[in-house]
Amino acid sequence: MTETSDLSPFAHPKAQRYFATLLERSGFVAEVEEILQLDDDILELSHTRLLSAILLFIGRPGIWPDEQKRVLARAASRLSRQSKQIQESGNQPKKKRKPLTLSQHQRLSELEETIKVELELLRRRAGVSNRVSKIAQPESWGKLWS
Amino acid sequence: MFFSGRNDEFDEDQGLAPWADQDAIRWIGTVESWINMAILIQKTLNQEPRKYPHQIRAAASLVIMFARPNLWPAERAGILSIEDVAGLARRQLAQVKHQFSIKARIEPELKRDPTYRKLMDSLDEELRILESRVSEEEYELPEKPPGSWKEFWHEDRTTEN
Repeated sequence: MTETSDLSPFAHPKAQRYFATLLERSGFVAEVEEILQLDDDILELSHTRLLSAILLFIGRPGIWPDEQKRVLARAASRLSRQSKQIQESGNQPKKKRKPLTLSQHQRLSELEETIKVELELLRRRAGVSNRVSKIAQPESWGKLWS
Repeated sequence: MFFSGRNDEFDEDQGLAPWADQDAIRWIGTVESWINMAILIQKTLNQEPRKYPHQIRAAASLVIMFARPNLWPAERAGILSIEDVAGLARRQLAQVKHQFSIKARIEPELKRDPTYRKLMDSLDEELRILESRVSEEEYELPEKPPGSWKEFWHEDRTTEN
């Protein structure tokens, strides 16, 4: 049993060595770095969001290597840049796109809010956010633990 | 996704969670290291709990995070279904808990140690979550991570060793 006050599955030195080996042997960190360099027409916003969600789960102390936090920061930067596509879409002149219905406007706004939370969570994981206020998972992620 | 980021397409029928998007799900299935990770997690869960309790608990925690519809790459060859991987994690984690109980039987002072109690409580919560993924019945669990995981999203601390 761990001798520390942290009793989570991420705290024991043997667990931490396991996570490090898992990430190295799977090649996940290295592949994420490569993926984040792909062009927007290959790595779309929805792909970046899904990748970021995985990073939000495992990009935490005890699992993700400290020296690879820059990968989390890159993912946050990519998500931030690509999420602007949503705002740009909403700002396009109407003649260039089909007008949105009221429910589409509402959903678009919900999506923007969801991504804002995802982005802030990822920035915190990357250690590039100065905010300290309490934060929870985005509501639209639904039930996560049961 | 509701908004794909491509051609301003909107699909109102899809949810807004990152793993609700069919195109993103297909794409993550092509990420080789993601598949490798799932295979390695399964391999760990098949290890001997007496020899590797901490590694098995670590792998089970990843099952709790990833074994959810559309995220866990269950459709790939050699990868268990969500129910099967959650079931395997539950059985092995129960064995890990059993090992800790045996240790407390040998060293009775452990049972009075609040740290030991907290660890056992957290293992119970982790087991209940895995059970809920396997069970066909509706589970009424509090919508929060196991106690020892603390503030899972808010956490901003370095891990103590």
